[in-house]
Amino acid sequence: MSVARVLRRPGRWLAWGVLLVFALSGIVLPQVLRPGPLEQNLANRLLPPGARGADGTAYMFGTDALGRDMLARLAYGARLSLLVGTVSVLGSGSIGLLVGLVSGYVGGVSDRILMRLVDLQLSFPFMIMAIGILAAVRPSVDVVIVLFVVARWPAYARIVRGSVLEVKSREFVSAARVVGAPDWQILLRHVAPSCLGPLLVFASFELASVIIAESSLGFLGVGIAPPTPTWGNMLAASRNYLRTAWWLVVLPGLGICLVALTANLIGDDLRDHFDPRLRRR
Amino acid sequence: MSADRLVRHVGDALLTILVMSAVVFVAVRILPADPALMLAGEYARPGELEAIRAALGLDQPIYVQYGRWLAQVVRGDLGRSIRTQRPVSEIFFARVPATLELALSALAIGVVVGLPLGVVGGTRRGSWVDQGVRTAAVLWNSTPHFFLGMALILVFGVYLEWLPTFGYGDWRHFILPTATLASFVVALVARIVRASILEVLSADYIRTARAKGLARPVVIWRHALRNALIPVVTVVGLQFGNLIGGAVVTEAVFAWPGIGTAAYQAILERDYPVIQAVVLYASAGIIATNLIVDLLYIWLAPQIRTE
Repeated sequence: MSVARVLRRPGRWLAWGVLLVFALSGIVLPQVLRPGPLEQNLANRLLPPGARGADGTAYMFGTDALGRDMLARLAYGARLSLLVGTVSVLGSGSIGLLVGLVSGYVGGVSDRILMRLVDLQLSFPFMIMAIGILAAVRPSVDVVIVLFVVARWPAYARIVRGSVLEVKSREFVSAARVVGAPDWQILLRHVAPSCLGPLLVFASFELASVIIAESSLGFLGVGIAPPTPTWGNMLAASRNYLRTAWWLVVLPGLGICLVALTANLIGDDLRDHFDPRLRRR
Repeated sequence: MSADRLVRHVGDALLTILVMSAVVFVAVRILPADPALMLAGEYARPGELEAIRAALGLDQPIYVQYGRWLAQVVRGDLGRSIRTQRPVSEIFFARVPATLELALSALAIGVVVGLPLGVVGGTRRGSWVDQGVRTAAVLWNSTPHFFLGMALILVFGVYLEWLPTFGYGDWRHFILPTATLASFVVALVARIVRASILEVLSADYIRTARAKGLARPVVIWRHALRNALIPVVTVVGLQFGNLIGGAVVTEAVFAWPGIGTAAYQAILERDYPVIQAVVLYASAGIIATNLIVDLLYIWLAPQIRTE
């Protein structure tokens, strides 16, 4: 891609850049930073960003109520947010893709049953159900991911099914059939590729939603539990220090907003890319 | 609308509620924390635990417990709180007014502010209002309710000291929670109205209305908006579940005494009947709202009615 085109869409590259920075910090920083995200140092409690501890350690983003380094904790939060977000989206996206393809292409009774299931599940109030379920089990990273995968696949299925129905009757599919291509080949070579655009667009918006939902569950105390730092449970803990330590509130909050914002912007950009009809709007 | 169509919609809604109740019932029963142990305390005498389990019916197989519970539900009796021994329906319905107060005022403000913003955004594409609405919609879509609430507390409660930081009382307690929830509704409504107006403005009947010399405001507010509102009603109605979900989180931030705070307390205390009641009643309310929206949509859009 030419430099001129990169410059014409600075927003796109900024969004991917921010996401990359968060991902890299999440992967690298918790391993290399000392003190680590769980190491307490009661001599260095509630240091504001930029302050030095009693032992001379510099804390770029300050420390929390137990003297733990906020930078290391924020980076660990980024790791968990992105991990839960991407794995959930990949999982529910794959199931949704499979169900949508089968439902749309095969049609008939299986379509009716699957879509009934989709409708049924889409009318479940997700947040309230999630609270009910997570309150009952010990919420670990795996449990939260499984919950998101199970709860979110129907929306993907519906979108993929819509694209399949649109493409199914087009000439190139009929042509493939006339030539005698087997169903699985028509499905994989000719139908599935047309579904990927809308699927990718929706997946980016879902990444933002899942990250926000995960942090909300953490905030309510039914997400991944402390001492493992997530942005949600860090914010829950910060409620007692609203008057004394703003950075405990603002920094994890900004982390969530920035990651969700980049995911949403990437989704917008992908939509423009896949649906040029909307570009001029 | 044909009768069998009505029956199908209502049947679907009932089926959803039934499945959901079973999921919640099972989820709440498989948890490791033992309510009998919590009630008896750590130093319970031998036999005491079994007695409490038998009294609560926790020694029966799970499907028996569910059947028994469902029979009670149908009779309108959802049991008593394990903690306070008060009937759970009483606990739930005592909290409903506060939640509805918050959710409905947010909805009202959202529609009153969001609708004109969306119309201006859709009719004057590229204007500063349009750009502002679009930017705000993306920003709000990327912000969790609880963080916006905490940021507002930080600014207006802690630094400026204009408003109370949490609780329930006079009108000043009302502002921050309502503003938090309403701003999300404004962003949603404005975005959908804008998209819907854009869609409608290219329709033939709008060109006809313009061609016959109707004034621009009449065309927009009478002809375009009326048709543009159909998808708006659907989307806003279907967002009712999210609105209640958002209200739950917002309540937790501001210690607002609604069902969200009640559910939150019940979760901390492992008070199963209360959790079940909140999830079941709240979900049933949301599903019923979705049903009404579905029917309203069919009634509003004649082209679907005759399908």
